[in-house]
Amino acid sequence: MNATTPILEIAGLSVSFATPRGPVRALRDVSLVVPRDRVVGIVGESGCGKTTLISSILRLLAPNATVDAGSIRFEGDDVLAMGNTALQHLRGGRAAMVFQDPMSALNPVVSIARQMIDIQFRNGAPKAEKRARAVAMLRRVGIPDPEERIDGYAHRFSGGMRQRIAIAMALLMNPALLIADEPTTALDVTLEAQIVRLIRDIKRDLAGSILFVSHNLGLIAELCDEVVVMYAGEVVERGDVRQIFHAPRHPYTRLLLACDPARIPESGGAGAALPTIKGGLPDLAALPSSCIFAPRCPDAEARCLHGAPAMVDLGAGHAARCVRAGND
Amino acid sequence: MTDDARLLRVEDLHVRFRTHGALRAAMAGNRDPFLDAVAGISLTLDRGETLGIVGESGSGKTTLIRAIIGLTDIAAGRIWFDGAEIIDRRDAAFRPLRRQIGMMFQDPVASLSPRKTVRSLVLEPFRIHDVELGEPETRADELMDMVGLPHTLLDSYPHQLSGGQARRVGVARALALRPRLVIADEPTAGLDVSVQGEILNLMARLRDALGLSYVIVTHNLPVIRHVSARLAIMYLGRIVEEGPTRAAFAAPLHPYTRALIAAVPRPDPDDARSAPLLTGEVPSLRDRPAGCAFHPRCPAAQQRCRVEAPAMRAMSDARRVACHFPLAAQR
Repeated sequence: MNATTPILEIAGLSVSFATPRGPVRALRDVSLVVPRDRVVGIVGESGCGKTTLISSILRLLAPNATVDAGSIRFEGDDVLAMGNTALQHLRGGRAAMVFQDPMSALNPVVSIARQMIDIQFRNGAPKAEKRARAVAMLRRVGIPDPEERIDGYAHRFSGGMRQRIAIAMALLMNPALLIADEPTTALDVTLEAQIVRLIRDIKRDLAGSILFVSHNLGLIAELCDEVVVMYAGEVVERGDVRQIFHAPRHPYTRLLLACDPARIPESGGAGAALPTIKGGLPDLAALPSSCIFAPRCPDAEARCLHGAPAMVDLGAGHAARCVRAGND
Repeated sequence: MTDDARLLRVEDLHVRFRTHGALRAAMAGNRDPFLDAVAGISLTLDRGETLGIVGESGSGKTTLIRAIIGLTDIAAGRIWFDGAEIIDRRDAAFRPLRRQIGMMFQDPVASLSPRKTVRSLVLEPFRIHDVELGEPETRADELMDMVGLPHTLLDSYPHQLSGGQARRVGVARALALRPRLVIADEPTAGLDVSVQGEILNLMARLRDALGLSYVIVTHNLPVIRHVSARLAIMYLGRIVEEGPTRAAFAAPLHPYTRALIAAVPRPDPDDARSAPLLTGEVPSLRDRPAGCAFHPRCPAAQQRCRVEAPAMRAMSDARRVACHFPLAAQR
């Protein structure tokens, strides 16, 4: 491993789930790179495979899942070949995760102090030192009076405070990669803004990359350097955040951006129709032979119905899985 | 009746929850055993109008609408519907009125009984209100057509529906008895952006076709900006600002309104947030701050705000604000 090795490199990953109806192909040929010191956003709607993807990275997939193809490398190490010890080291130290629901992420019957000390079990320091680190980290994420409050239990904290604690716990082991899975979905907008600012500040101070998963385009725009757009188990577009938001090349990315009410010019409640994406997600147990988005695509043409398109490289790290992506 | 245009009028409404019993309250000294989840709310809704009620968790917006439709008892205040005051909220007297108010609940899947088919669910309001159903098959088909669902879903169960479909079933149930007012609690919560437009467009179409009025409760400012011409912002059980949506977004009067708008992330990497973020969180109703309830988080709070609660006052252009130092007035 050297300084140019990406933190995370996923190449051609395909994952399917065995079901009574046959295999559900939840991820197909997914490739993405999280370089050092970058914030990479994964954006997509329900059913796009975001959760399956992050579960694959930490090898937390359900027992009926199989990796059909592809590789996952974490700082150069093959995650799919890791044994139990290496996996534990990955999950507990090298990568950390902040979950969507701060209400269920903390253990309700164990004090915050105990949870934050326990999570440092790989650190050989005396307990007092671990506690001091935990207190310092709580202060860093904006918990008032951390010396006293650390002995409290999760139910004594509000949702926003619990998410701050979850972030503090994730950072205690100085992970190389912080995976945040919709970390603000359960929070009100003023708290969401605070948590996003906290994540941005943390990024500035701490070494490490962030993989930020969200369906909220505004948060992705605010926080991320690079963006990966997923649809129905495929990466349909990836690029620099400005490329994605200012010059999207995949029709799905364009439609998704167009649907965001925050981007639609004000109608003053006049009731102008809001844009939508017609149709629904394809059945991942019976995939069409066409481009996965063709049935809903307003620009689909005859060639879109024959075979899935390959990723088209548009230069400067921008790529889109659309036969028309290279055209203007 | 002077208020002929008003479909709904709420005056100084209070909803009070008991936090602990009388004995414990006595033992704890003179600590007030009640909290006011809705603490003096007045609002009106014209025929054909859509009113958006916006607030964060704990602002009392859901309690407010539950009180209006009679699911929660009110402690004080008066409610008029269609010019007549709702006084007797006991079942027999209230039910004919209640029939004219449709309700869309927040979580569409949880609000549908998992053991009933869609057919049974959309026809349930007729049974509950003992309304002549006519031909059940025709009625069910009509309702499905109205909300744009295929008839084949009539025999499905709620768990087989997508979020958007469940939401449409909720619309069909709310509109089954042809109400005049529909109250929608977070109609787009949990929906993907590509689907939430469909639901809002459907609601707008039905409003025009059936002459409905809406009260839409949400925390989603970008959505409410597009669906309601008038807006009320709630904070800790009170309305802090009310007026035309366009004006509230262009030049908010209350510092809380400004902070809410500023907190919405901009979907543009080159458009950074401008206004300072709010610090802290919504306080507990048990410890409602003295004076203006917003003063501990208000960047513009002054001494007067700490001791004296601001009254709601009328500003220009049909706007109202409860603030000693409204923003536009300072410019």
